[in-house]
Amino acid sequence: MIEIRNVSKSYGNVKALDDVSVTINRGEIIGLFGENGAGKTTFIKSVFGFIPFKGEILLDGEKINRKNIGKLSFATSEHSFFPEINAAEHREFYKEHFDTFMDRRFDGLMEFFNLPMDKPIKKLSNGQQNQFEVILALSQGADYIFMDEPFSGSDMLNREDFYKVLMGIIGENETIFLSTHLIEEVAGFISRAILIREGRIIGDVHIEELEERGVSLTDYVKENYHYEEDRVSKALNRITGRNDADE
Amino acid sequence: MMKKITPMLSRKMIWEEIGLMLLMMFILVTISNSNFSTMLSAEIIDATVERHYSGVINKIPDINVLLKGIFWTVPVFLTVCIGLVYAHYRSFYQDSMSIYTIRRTGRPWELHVRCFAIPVLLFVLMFIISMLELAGFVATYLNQTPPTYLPEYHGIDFWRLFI
Repeated sequence: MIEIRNVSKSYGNVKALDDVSVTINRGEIIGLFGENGAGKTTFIKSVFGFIPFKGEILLDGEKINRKNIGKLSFATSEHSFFPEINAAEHREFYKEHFDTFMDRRFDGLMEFFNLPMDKPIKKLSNGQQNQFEVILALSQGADYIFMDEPFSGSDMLNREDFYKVLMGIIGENETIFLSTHLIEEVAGFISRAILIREGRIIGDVHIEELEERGVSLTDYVKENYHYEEDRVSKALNRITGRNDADE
Repeated sequence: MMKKITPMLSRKMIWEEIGLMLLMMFILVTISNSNFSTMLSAEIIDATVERHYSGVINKIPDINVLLKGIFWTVPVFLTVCIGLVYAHYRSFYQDSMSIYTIRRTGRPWELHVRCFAIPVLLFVLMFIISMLELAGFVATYLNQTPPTYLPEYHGIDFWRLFI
C-alpha cells in the first residue's frame, strides 16, 4: 500500500500540489485524470522522490528509499530508458539492478510489439520508444507500476494494442497507476479514478460505484470539473460574432 | 566489471571516448618529454661550448629550474577529465530522462560511479605516467649530464612541476 499524506509542492508562487492525500492499494488499476498542468506529473514524481515536497509518502509503512524503490516502476512520456544502448543491454542492466525482473514478460512484449533487440533505442520511432518505455516498466517486476502519459504522441492503434496487452498480463498483485487525459480510452479497464485539478484531488471514485449510480466516467469527470456544456457554443458565438438568438 | 562503471553509452562510444583520451594523454606526455629533453640538451651544449671556447666550466641549472611547470599537461588533462564527468552526467538528461532509472536502482553511488569512474581512472593513469616520466627525467639529468656540469642535487620541488 502506498500512503500519500498531505503532500504539497510549489513552484515559486504556483501550487502544483496542495495538501494531497491518497492511498493506493495493491491490485488496483487507477486512472489519474486532469487537464494539462493539473499536477499529475508532479504527483508521480513526488511519489518517486524525484522532486522535493512537503508531506509524507509511505510504501508498505516505510518511507520510499533506495531499499524499497525497486517495488515501483515508472514509464513516462519524457522517457527514462538509456537512448544510446539497445534493448538487450537494457535487459542486462535491469536484471542486474532489479531482482524481480521478468525476462519472459520482457521477451514476450518485445516480440509482440516487434521491437528490435540490437538497435540503440534512440534509433527507434517515437511510437516504438513509447512501447519500449512501457515494456521496461511492466517487466521490472514492480508491485506498483506508474505510467505518466506513456502514449502521448502515439497513434490510437498503438494505444489499443497496449491496453489489450496490459489487461492480459497484469497479475493480481500488480498495481497500475496511469496518468492520462484519454478518459474514454481507459474507462473500460480501470477500477478507480482519481481526479486532480490545480493541485487538489477533486474526485476519487471506484468504477463499480459509478456503475451502480449509472454515471459514466466521462460524465463524472465533467461533473467534478464543473464542465460547462454550452462552453463551445459560447466560444463560437464570441469568435464568429453570431448570437444563438440570430439563428 | 567494465559494464558496471561506464556511462550508459554504446560500447563503441565508450571505446571512442577512451581512445581519444589516451591519444590526448600520449600527445601531452610527448610534449613534456620533448620539452625536458630539449632544455636539458641545450643546457649541456651551452656548458660544453662555454668550456670549449672560454675554458670556464659552468654548471647547468638545478633540475628544479628545468622541471618548473614541465607537467602543465597534468592540470590540462585534469580539466578535460572534469569536462568528461560533466558530459557523462549530462548524458542522463539527454534524449531521455534516464536519470529517473538510475535513481531507482538500489545503489546510492550508481550515478557517481558511472560519471566519475572512467575520468578518474584516466587521470590516475596520466598521473602515474607523469611520475614515471619524472623519474626518467631525474635519471637522465643525473646520468646523462657530464659530472663536471652537475650542480648539487637537492631533490625535487614537487608542486613547481605543475605550474
